[in-house]
Amino acid sequence: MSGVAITGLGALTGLGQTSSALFAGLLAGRSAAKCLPALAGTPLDVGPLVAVSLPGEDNHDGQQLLSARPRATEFLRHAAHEALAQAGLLDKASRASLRIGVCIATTLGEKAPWLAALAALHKDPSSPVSPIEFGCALPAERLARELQASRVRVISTACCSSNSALGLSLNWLRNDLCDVVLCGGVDVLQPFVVSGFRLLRAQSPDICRPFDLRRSGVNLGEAAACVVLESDRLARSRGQHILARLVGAGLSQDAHHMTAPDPQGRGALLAMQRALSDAQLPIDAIDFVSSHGTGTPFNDQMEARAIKLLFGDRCDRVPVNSIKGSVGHTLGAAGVLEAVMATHVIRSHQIPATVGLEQPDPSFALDLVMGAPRSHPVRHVLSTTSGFGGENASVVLAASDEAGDRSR
Amino acid sequence: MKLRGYARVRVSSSESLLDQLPEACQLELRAPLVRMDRLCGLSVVAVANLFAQYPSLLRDVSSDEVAVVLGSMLGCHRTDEEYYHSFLNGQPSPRLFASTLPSSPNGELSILYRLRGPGLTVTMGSTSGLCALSESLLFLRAQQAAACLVVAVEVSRPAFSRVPLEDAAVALWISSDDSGSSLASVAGMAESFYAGHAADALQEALASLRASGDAVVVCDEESAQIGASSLQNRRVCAVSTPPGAVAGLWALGDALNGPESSFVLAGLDPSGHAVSTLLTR
Repeated sequence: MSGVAITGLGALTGLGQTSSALFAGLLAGRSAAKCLPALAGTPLDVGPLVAVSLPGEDNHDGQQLLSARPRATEFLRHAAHEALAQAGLLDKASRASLRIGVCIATTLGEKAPWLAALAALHKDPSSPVSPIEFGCALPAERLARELQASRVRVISTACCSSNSALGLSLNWLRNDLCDVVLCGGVDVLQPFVVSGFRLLRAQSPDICRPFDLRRSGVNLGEAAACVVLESDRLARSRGQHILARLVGAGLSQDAHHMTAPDPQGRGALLAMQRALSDAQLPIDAIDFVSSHGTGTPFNDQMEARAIKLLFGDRCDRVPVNSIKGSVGHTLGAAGVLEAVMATHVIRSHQIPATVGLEQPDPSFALDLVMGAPRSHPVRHVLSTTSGFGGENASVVLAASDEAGDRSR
Repeated sequence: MKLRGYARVRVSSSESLLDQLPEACQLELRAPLVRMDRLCGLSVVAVANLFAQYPSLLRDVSSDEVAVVLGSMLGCHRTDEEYYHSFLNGQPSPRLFASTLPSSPNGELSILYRLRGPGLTVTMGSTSGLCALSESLLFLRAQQAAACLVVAVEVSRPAFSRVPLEDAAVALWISSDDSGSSLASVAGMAESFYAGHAADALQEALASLRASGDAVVVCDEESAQIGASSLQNRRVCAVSTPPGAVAGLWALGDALNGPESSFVLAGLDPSGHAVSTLLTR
C-alpha cells in the first residue's frame, strides 16, 4: 500500500504552544505535570496533571478545569492552524481547489458546557432545561466549517482514537476521497474524566513513570495535535517540504476485558503486525518504537510483551520511549501527538528520553531510552496505542527521500 | 461488497432488553446483558438478533478478521449523565465510569464474539451510522478486514439535547466475499459537507454517486424534509425511523423489504453533512 506525505505539524501541549516547543521540551527532558492549586482539597485533588494554557489565558491553576468554557474547540483550532500554516494551507485561497478532509479524534469532545449545565440541574432540579450544543463532534464540525471541508469524521475509540484517525485518513487518501486531510486529536481535562481515572486507580498520585518498577499510573493531560496529510505528488506540486510519510496503519481488538488489557499482548501485537503489513515493511525496518507507555502496571506489562513478541531476539536493540511522563496521557490526542514527535525524530535523528523512568522493570528487557535523548539513525517509526474496551491502533511513519536528503 | 445480514431493534426506554434477546441466546447473553449499560445492551441485542437470523455469518470467516464499526450521535450520554450525577452526589461509581466511552459497545461485542479485527467508533451527527458503513467499505477494500459488523445505536432521553432520541439499534454484516447469498450489494458511497447547507450537500452526494436519476431515494423523514429542495425531481421514499445515527441504516431495512431492485440510501445531518449509498439486488 502506498504512503502519504506529512507536510504540516501542530501541537498545543504542556510543553508549549507549538510542535517545535513540544519537541524541544521533550529533548530537554521536561515534565509539565504538576499538582494544580485550585484543586487542592477537592475530590479532584488526584495528583499531578498536565494542564495547558491557551494563548492569552492565565497560567493554568486548575480553575480552567472547572469552567464551562468550550476549550476543546479552541485547542483544536490552535493546533490545526499551526499545522495548516506549515503546510501552506492556512490562507483560504490556498485551499480553494482542494478537497479537504477533516478527521478528528477525541474521547470527550466538548463536554464542559454540558457538565456545567448538568451540575446546575443537579443543584436545582427545577431549573429550566434548554438545548445546548454538546457532543464529541463539536470541535471537528467547527473546524470543518472554517476550512470548508468536504469530508468530516469524528472518531472516538478510547485512547487509540487518534491512531485510528490516522489510519482512516490514510485510507481516504489512498482511495482518492480527499486531496488533503487535516488529521488531529484533542481532549481537555474535565472533572468527569479526572474523577473517573482516580476511581479506577489509573491516575497516579505520583509522577508518571512509564516502564519503571515504581510505576503507579498515568498523569492525565490535555492537548491538541494535528498533522496535514496529502499525496507526495500534491505536496511536491505545491512546493511543500515532505516532513515524513505515514506509510501504514493497523487496528485490532483484544476481545479480552473492558478495562484491562490482554496480559499476553495479543491484541496490541496484532495491531503492530497489521501496521507493518499495511506498510509492506519487514520488522527489521523499524528503527524506533514510540510506545503508548502510560505508566500503569498493566498497560506497560502488556505493551512490553507485545513489543518483545514482535521483535523477538531484536527486542533489546530497538529503542523504545514514551512521552507520557512529559505531556501526560492526553487520551484522544495521544496518537497524533506521538506522530508529531516521531516526525521530529525522523528529521533530527534524536530520540527523546522517557521522562519519569529511572529504574526500568527488568522483566521488560527492552531498549528503553532514558536519562538523556539518544542520537540514533531513524528511518521508520512504529507508534502504538491501546485503550479501554481492548482497542489497539498502531501506525508506521517513514522518512521521506527529501527528509533523508536534508539530513545527510 | 455484499450485505449479508441485517437486524434492528426499537424499544421504549423503560422496556427490558432481556425480552428482546433471541430465545437461543438467552442462556449465554442474559448475565452479560444485565451488567451492561443501555448503549452496550442495545448494541448486543441487535447483534444477537443478527446472528440468530443469519447463523452462518460467524462460521464463514475468521473472527480475527472481523471489524466492529459503530456509529452513534450521542453515544454513551446516558451513562455519562448517570456517572456525573454519582460524582456530584459524592459517590462516584467506577462501574458507570468504565462505560463512559462511545466505543464501549465495540469492546463488549468483541469480547462476546471473540472479534479481533479493527474496532472503530464514529460519533458525529445523525449520519454516523452511514459513516460507519462507509468506513467499513474502506476496511474491506484495503483488505484490513474480511467482514465488518456495522452497528448504529442511540439511547433515549439525553438531557439538553436538541434531538429527542429513542432506544434503537441496527446491526448489519458486510463482506467482500462474492460467494453465498446476500441481501444486496453496496455499489458505491458518496458524501459531502456544506456547513449549514445540508440540501446542497445532499445534492452533491447524490450527484457524486452517478446513480441513475430514476433510482428511488430512500431516506428518513427528517432527511427528506431538510433536503427537500435537492430531492424534488427524484423519486423519494421517506421512511419513519428512530432519530439520530440509527436513522439511515433503519431506512435500509425498509428498502430491503421494498420492491426496488436498486435504490439510493440517503442521510442528512442538519450540520450540513450528507451521505448517499447505492445498493442493488
